[in-house]
Amino acid sequence: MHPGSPQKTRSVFHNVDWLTIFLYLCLVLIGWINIYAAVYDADHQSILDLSRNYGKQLLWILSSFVIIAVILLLDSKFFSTFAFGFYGLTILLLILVLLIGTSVGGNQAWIAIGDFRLQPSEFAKVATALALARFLSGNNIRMQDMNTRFLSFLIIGIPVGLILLQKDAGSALIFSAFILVLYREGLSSFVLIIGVVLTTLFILALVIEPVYLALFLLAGGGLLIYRLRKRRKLITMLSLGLVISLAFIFATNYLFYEVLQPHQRSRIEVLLKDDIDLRGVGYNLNQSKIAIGSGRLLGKGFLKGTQTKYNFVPEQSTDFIFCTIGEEWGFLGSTLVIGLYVALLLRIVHVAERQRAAFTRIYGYGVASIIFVHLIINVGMTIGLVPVIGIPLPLLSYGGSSLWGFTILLFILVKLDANRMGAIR
Amino acid sequence: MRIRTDIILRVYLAYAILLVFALAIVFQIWKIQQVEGEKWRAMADSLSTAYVTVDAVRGNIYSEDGQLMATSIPRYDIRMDTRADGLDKELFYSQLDSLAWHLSNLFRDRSAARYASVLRNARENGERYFLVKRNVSFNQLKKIKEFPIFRRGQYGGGLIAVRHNERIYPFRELARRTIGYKLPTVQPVGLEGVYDEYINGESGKRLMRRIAGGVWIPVNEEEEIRPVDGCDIISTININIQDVAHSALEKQLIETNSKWGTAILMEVKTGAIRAVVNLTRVREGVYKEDFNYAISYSSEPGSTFKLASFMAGLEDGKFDLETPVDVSKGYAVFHGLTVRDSHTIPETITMQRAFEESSNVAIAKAIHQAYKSDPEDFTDRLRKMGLGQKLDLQIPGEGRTRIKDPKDKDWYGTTLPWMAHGYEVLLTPLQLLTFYNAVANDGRMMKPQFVTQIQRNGQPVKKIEPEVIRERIASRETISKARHLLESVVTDGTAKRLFSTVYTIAGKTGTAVIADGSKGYRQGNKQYQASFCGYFPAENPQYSMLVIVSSPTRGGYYGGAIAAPVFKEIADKVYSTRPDMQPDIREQYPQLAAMFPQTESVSGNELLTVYRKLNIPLTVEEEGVWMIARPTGSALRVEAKNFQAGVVPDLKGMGLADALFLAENAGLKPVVTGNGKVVVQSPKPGEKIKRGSPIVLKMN
Repeated sequence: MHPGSPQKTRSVFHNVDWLTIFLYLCLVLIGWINIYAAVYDADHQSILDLSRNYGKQLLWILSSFVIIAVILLLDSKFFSTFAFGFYGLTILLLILVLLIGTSVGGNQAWIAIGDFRLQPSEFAKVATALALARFLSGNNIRMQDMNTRFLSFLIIGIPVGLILLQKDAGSALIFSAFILVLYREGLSSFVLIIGVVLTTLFILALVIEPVYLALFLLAGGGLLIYRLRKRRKLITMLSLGLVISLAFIFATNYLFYEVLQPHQRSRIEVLLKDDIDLRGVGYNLNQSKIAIGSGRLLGKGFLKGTQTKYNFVPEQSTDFIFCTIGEEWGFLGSTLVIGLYVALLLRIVHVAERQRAAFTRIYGYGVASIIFVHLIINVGMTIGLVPVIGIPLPLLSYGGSSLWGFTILLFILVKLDANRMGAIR
Repeated sequence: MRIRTDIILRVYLAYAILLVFALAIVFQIWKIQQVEGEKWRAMADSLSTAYVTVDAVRGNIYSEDGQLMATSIPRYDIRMDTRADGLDKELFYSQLDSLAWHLSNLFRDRSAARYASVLRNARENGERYFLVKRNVSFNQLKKIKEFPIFRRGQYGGGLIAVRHNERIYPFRELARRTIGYKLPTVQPVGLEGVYDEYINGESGKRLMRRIAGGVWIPVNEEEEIRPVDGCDIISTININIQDVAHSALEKQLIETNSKWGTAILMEVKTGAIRAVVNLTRVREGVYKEDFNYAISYSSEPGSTFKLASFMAGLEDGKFDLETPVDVSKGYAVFHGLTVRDSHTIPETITMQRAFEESSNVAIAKAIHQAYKSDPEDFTDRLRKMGLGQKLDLQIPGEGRTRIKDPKDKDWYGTTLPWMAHGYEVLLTPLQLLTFYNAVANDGRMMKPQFVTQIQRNGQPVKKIEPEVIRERIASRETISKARHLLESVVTDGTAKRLFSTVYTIAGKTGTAVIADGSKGYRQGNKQYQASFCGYFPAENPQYSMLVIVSSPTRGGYYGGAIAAPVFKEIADKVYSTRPDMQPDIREQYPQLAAMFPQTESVSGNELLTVYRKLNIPLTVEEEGVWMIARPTGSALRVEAKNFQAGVVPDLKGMGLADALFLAENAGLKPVVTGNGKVVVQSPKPGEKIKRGSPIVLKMN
């Protein structure tokens, strides 16, 4: 609110966080070059060839710049005002996709308009982040209230449910990122702890025979209860926890072998049980590891990667783009890319923390969490830390919806941040 | 304050989680690349790609007369990568029906609808190495490469053509054993085996990659290291002679129900093997090329060896053709063992007569008499004549040969007389023939030759010249006496049935009793080996030949009765196809010389060309487009023949080419029946022509 300088004359880049934009540009450029390397073939050498993925990616990048310009030109209040509107619209799109969507690779997640295919779940992340921020930044909203918690989980849960109906478990999983946001806004650590414990138990239950695990837990729990026998309240809780854990362990086995789809099950098995079936289910992961492993310290060099070039690695321009980086740029290249992501994430958290407006802060955490979970799962799956889940690497993977989604996600924050001085509520 | 610290803690926790995960990722990358790097890199090679050997196209084996005896043709398995990178859904489905129609049209084995549904299924199942059709020819492949979808290649259209070579032997059983074969698990045989390193070429390498489902597909459309195709082998085999020899021998084997037989035909001057037949009885009436008797089977030759004994005696001056020998008893006893003649001649005869009649007693006695004090002289003489040595053939598997030495442990008192008539020596059929060939070749022993040239793309890589083993096996006199002996066998001796007025054959019959392995020369159930070895034409030998028929069970067992007819049949056919071997027809049939080939109206230039070429005396009255030739006393009189315009021409005596030309030129429509020359025509010559009206020409 500077009386002397009217809003009109102000540049759209006024007060924007250049570091974020710089990191964004770096990652997008790295992505484009590596898509070129991943699908390179001698017949189509021009990086501008529009019949190839890298040519198309350039179009996506350029159109993203248009989107950025539009976002920066919009009033920052626009986003908070219409947060619920966007949310409603994406929910409608998600329902629509179930009715008229086209199926790609087993997921009915796309709306095709001629040649143009749109993946509403990418935009659902943005809308959910906005809606959650809007809801939590409202007056008299306290995380400690049951009501708040319920509504927060409802906001997250509706799109998750719809996306799960599309059989796109990967995208649905991303929404777990919002738990981190809720945690930052005061959700009890208890929820996080339970989450971690259950995940650990789940993995252990698959690795160790459930009976032995149960015996081990009983022994450990019994010892603990004996030690803490004087603190009645804790004992009650511990006993309850123990019973739930035991039930969970046996439920896991049932869940794993009866509820999960065979392909989902095998993806987890591949990860936990070493070197099973290299030619079948473990193929993707192995090929990915081979590609990365053959990169060594400095990599094979630009366009010299053979594992990715000959299509050993599936989806090498989309979900497995990190393999190309690992193979052609080696340990240093991959570390640099991870470094860029970490820098971007830290910068986003920093940007979020410097806000006076709760809306922007919460939204900022949403952005960071979504990118973070994408990064962990995507890179994790290429190097065998996480089961193979088909989600893109933010900003790097080939694909218009994905790039647009992340661009919108990120630049709404940039716009909100640019206006942080004026957005005191 | 507590809330504030709580929030700060939570923020730090956010940072910490971020960093922990980032570090975990970096650590894992480091682990994969540095710690486990070797493992993954090794896997990269073993799991995903491999260089697969691509066999070169094997070279051809040609006969002497340029016929393909063995050749490889490329065959292709057509496979489809239904999920090829460049083959998107829209393209696939929009052109699928068209592709299916083309495939169905080309192979005619499945309907277009069937092909379409099969390919659609394949794509839906994500098949990346789907077998479309096996064993497709190169021409078919060329067409397939033009089909919709497939014309886009491997990446664009999923077309994968996997080549393999099929070895074919166009003449099937002919010289099968000599051409040989090469199979993965068996020792290579024959020319295919010996010249394998030339024929095989150099294999190429093709980078193959593994795709889901455990199948390998080529990475690139062409081989990374292209195979170098094998060289071609030009063999000495003449396929026509081989064919003749094969059928003649086969016929006789079937007729006599013999165990096996071999026939070898060698060119006298060069030692080139023009035909080599090896037939083994599979069951009665069915014979196959199964064992190379000609070069591998060594046995006691029997009477055919007498030529060597005679030559040794003649060369050493021990006896002459006129030397008398008493064979009247029909047997002779040496150290308690008896040599018998097959038929007793109750008188004293000359050595020549003894050879003609193939008397065992005579030669046993003569050799025993001459060499009993110094048997080394006899064995040395045989060796000097080139016997008892391996020929070092181009084809492996040569059987052993043996001329005993008096110092050997198994040299007995009876060895000398038995050797004299062809026992206690070992020779392969080809070794024996080589000896006879040397006699036919005025004493110069040639090495049997199977291959003359190795070629690549029609250019010689290696030429193999005829090789002389021994410049002279015996003196000129001995050779000429030997040839005289061989001729007299046919004119007066055991092979009289080979006598022919057209050309002369010289040779020696052989009837050997075969040692049947451990059972020895079985008494009571004797097995015989009938043979005939010789050459033709006797006065100017072109070919030498050996025919062996082993263990005949019908129609006798004498060489003259069983083997000689085969020899004659082969020789006759070879002779008839070699005009240069035949005397001038006018000398042969003087009555024909006076006849002149007369001609009714024919094309002038051609007539003169033929007559002049044949040196037919003629007087040319008048040259013209059409001419007519009539005999007049000592020469042909050739005059021009003119056809009057507007009148039906006289076409009688004309060939169809000329007759049609004339008739159509005259505006008539010929209607032709029969073939040969025009004998009847209607309308008749001289009638007025109605344009477009038919003319009936009867040919005969």
